[in-house]
Amino acid sequence: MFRLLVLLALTLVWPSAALAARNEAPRKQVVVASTTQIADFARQVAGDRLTVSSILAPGADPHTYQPTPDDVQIVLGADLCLENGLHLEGKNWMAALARDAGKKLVTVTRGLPPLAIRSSGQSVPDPHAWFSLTNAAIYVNNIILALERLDPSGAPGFRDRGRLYLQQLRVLDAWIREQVNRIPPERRILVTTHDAFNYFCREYRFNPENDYLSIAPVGWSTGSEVGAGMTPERHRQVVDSIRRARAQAIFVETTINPKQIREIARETGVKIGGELYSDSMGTAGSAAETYIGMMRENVLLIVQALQPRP
Amino acid sequence: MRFALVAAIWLILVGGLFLYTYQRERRLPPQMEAVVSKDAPGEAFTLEITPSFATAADPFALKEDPAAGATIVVRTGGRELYRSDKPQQAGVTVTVHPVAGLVAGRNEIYLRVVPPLAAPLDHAVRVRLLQGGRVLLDETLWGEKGANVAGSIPFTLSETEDAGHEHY
Repeated sequence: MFRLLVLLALTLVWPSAALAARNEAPRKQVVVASTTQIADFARQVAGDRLTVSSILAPGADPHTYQPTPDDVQIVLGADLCLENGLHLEGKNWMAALARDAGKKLVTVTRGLPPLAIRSSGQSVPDPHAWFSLTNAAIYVNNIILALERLDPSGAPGFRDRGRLYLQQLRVLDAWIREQVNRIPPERRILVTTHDAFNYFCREYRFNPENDYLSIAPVGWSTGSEVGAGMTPERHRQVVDSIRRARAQAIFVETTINPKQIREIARETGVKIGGELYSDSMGTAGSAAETYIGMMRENVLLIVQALQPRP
Repeated sequence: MRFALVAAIWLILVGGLFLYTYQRERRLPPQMEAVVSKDAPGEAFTLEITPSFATAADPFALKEDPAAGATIVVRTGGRELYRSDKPQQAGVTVTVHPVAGLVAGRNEIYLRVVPPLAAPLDHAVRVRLLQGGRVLLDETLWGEKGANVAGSIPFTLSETEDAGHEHY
């Protein structure tokens, strides 16, 4: 009788365990990006097939960020790391994290023609390449390739999502051109806190007197790299540029202390046009929580501040 | 009496169903129907594509796609019929001859033509299908400024004794 009961129990338990094991979802592979923008691109391509996160939280500054022990743990759990490169990540903190964890790292700006900025007698590549939509397409193409290598069986889905997203970027580009066209060329002067908008100015024809590059008191990086930070000479050049070009407004940024730009606004008598998303997207639930949302909100703010009053 | 009642109910139900399907089909976009001349059944088809704009490669193409650098892509029956990687001037007609893959019955031509990024106006592509010099199909696809002109043109090819009769 006892043997019968044991046999009965086994016949009930064993198939349940097998069923439970079969039904248990396979672990999703993990992709960790340095910035929120790269994470958004990856998410648009990966869909629900992979888990995507970023080291930086919205509003964090990639130039001066210092990784924490939590970041080390996050990267240890990753299957693939993505970085911007071009020294956006100050002192290459993302590369260091990936190297120390023994994880594969892909630089998503690979193959992109960077803008060279001359600063302190040296030429440095501007890392803020995502502000040109055609460059954003390069980011997305590189991410698609990286995800395909990580998860070959997911490749058809990555490509299909990628195709759709790339065309969304194309539509966004056309929309931005249409919006910017509402600002007469003589008013198309963009002054921001740091030199993050060179690609944007070059693409959409802002600041013609400055060779279609951004006007900013702080250099391309808020950190300590060559050409970074603010100097008295830069301050003076920016004030002179604003006065000469008769800028209508200047803009603060979400990732940077607005103190310096507010001083310049007081000095020149120019209004603050609003707060732009530069090195980071907005928080979850905000209008700028995606790359497309970030670009859209930035452009709407710029156009609203610079277009002529009716 | 009972038989008459049953017949009446049957007529109402079937008649109502017929009216419903008739109304629904009337609301569907009409399938273009091109009548192919029986006099020249072996004559190959010709496709003419005329963009109103200068074409360019698409920087937002998926680089892995074989047609990533294409300025014009034409597909039918799931197969690529024509591709050009060269920019074309506005108003220049591209001729594809012969057009392989068309069958009697339902067909569909898919087209994608890429304008330059900063194209300032909405733009269009005229598509014509000919056989023996006779126009079987004449359709225009539109795109908003900056966007690709892309779309499918469904049509039906059917044979008839009356060679001059066309329906669209």
